[in-house]
Amino acid sequence: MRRMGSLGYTLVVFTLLIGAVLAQGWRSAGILCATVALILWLQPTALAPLRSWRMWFMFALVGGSVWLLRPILQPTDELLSGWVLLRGLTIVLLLSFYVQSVGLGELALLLERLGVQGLGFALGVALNMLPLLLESLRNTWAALRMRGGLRRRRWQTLQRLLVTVLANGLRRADEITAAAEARGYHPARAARAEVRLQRVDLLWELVAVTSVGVLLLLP
Amino acid sequence: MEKQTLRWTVRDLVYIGLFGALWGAMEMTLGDVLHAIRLPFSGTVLTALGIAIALVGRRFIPKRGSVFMIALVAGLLKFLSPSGMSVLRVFISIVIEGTIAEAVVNLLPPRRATWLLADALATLWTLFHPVLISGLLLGAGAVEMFVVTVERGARTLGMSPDSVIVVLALVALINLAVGALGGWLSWEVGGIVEQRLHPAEED
Repeated sequence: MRRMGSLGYTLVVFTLLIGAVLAQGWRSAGILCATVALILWLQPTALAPLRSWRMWFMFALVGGSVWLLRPILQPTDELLSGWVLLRGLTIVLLLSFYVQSVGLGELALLLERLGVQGLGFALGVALNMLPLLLESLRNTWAALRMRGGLRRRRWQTLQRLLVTVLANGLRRADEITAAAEARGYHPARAARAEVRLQRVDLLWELVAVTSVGVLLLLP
Repeated sequence: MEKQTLRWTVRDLVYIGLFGALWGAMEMTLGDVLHAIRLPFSGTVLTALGIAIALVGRRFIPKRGSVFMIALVAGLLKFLSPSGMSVLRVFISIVIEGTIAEAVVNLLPPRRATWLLADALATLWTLFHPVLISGLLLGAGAVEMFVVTVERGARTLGMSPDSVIVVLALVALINLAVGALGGWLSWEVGGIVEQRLHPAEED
């Protein structure tokens, strides 16, 4: 099947997340298998968290602690059974899959479609200004360090840092605004890509809903 | 293309982008430093400063929703880092904190005390956020277990559970204090920047 659009990814991930949260016992393993199958088909690199030793260490620590300290912690049966750790793993993989599949621009468009007007334009400005602000922060901090940094008058130093970076940033922002308005640009009139539900999105969502439904409803 | 109405002007959106980027830049630079030196409550300090930046933005974009938009832009910039779970966890945290600050500045008049309260309450959220994430990942049983652990742990150490509540209250107080300092800073900085950029308006 073809790749989904951003709306499709959002719906499928949301459906599987709901399934992961609602599933109990062996059904958690079923949802995990469905998630891994989806990721292997569409975005195998999203399985990268499985190579993270830190994640496995945390899971082992949590699971081991719950088991060893069960007389003290009095965990619920669900926690004791260990199935719940599969839920955690499913959620981690689903979020990794979503972040890798839906780009920043697509996410902004999606949020605009949900009613957050002007977000795409603001995000574009932010991305544009980020390197400038980072450089401004570093240069201003270097200048303040030469004058004593945070060793003396910490409050004033912090104020000066923020004031300098902000004042420079606002001047630059006014230039950007003037340039945009001089070109007759306005976000309300800007052409933007449509965010539509495609047939392939519906097909994948049907697969996801059917899988989750079967797993949750099976006796 | 059909013209749509937009509540934000071009200038508003550029400023929202600026303050969102500044929040993101601050997290990238100061965040790395604080984590490297393992400063206690570094997350609290970063949150307080981030909300402070958003509140300065509110002085320049005095419209309903500006603080939330700045937080949303700052949160989305986190998606530039490729590590799924922590990115989304931080994104959710930033958006919730922005929502709390937005609610406060909408309900109360624009003055120093409002800025202090907005930053303090938003920073307090950092205390509850891990409980939310644990609850999502491990289910309600995790929260139950946390409460039982605290009670039993207190008795094991010969303390009453009330003492643990006192400790938690102390941590909450520290969060509120750091947040209030951030709010104070944002009010001061906002005033100074306004004066620097528009000195004629002070006459």
